[in-house]
Amino acid sequence: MDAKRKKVDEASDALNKEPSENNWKRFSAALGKSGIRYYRMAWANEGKLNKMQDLTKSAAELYDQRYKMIAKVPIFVRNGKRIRGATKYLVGLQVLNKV
Amino acid sequence: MIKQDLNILEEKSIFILREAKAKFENVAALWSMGKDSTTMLALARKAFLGKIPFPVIHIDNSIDFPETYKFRQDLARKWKLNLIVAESEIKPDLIGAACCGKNKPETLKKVLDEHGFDALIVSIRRDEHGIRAKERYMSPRDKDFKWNYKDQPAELWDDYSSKMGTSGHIRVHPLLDWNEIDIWNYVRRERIPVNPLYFSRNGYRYRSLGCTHCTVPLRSSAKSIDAIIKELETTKEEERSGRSMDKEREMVMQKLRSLGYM
Repeated sequence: MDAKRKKVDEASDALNKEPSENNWKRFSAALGKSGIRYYRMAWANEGKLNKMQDLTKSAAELYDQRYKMIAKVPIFVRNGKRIRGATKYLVGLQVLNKV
Repeated sequence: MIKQDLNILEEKSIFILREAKAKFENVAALWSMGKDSTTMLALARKAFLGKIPFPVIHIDNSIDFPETYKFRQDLARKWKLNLIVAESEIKPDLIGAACCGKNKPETLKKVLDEHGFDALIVSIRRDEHGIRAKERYMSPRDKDFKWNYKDQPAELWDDYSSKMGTSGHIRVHPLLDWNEIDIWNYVRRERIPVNPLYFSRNGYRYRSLGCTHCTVPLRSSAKSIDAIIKELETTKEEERSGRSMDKEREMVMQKLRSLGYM
């Protein structure tokens, strides 16, 4: 568990530093057996986005099956000047509706 | 909510799908991975003996729910769809209705130009929204995607217009007569796979699906199709009440649709 957790931690750190395509792929691979099961979107402004630029300030919180937060990652990919969403890299997780 | 005869609805939708395939040279269908467009694909499989004979387009703004991407991946493989994923770029300063009014139609325009589609099958229903009730089964759009809802061809005795202006296209709407409960009854009858987000988890479920940032779940305990149908029989809430863009301004949907939004 620790080794897997360490892998996730390293990958999420790299992602927070630089949300590039490669770092996302690395994180996505680490996600597989990490025990992370749920995600919740944490928008920059309370509630929802006010403009798309806020996407770069928002994050996805990732939880295990006991609703313990394991990692917090950005939800965009930066490719030079281009920015796009990154939710496709979280495939396999379920939205956390728990209030 | 009024329940209609599913066999009659199915027959008409299949007729429209076959009519579209016969009348137009290059047809494509839009798929958002929601219940309506997935039902439309199931109807197309029935209409064309198990194989969907046209490409299926997903306008991907790259911030859909992960469950939606998983559903796309699984169903595209299972039904052997000819899937075109058109990824739209994120535009700063746009959000909600402005985002839907610009990003999605712009990306769709690019796909249409690239592939030369002359007809697009769109799974809207009249009961979803007042402005969608003004649609025809086959509805023309001009080259700028504009829709003049005040000047549309009459559709009498199953005679549908396939005429369009230069470089425009026709939107084909095979599910126009269906309502939400018909869709769920048909999903149950035909065992059509649906996005898991429609089912309740921790007391919430999504009734209408959009992007992560503009769709909110509604309180519900419906964990199965039967429970959803039961819930719909008594609910007074609107189907799109979880979609933030519908609430921004008055007539926003009317403006969006006249600009080319689905």
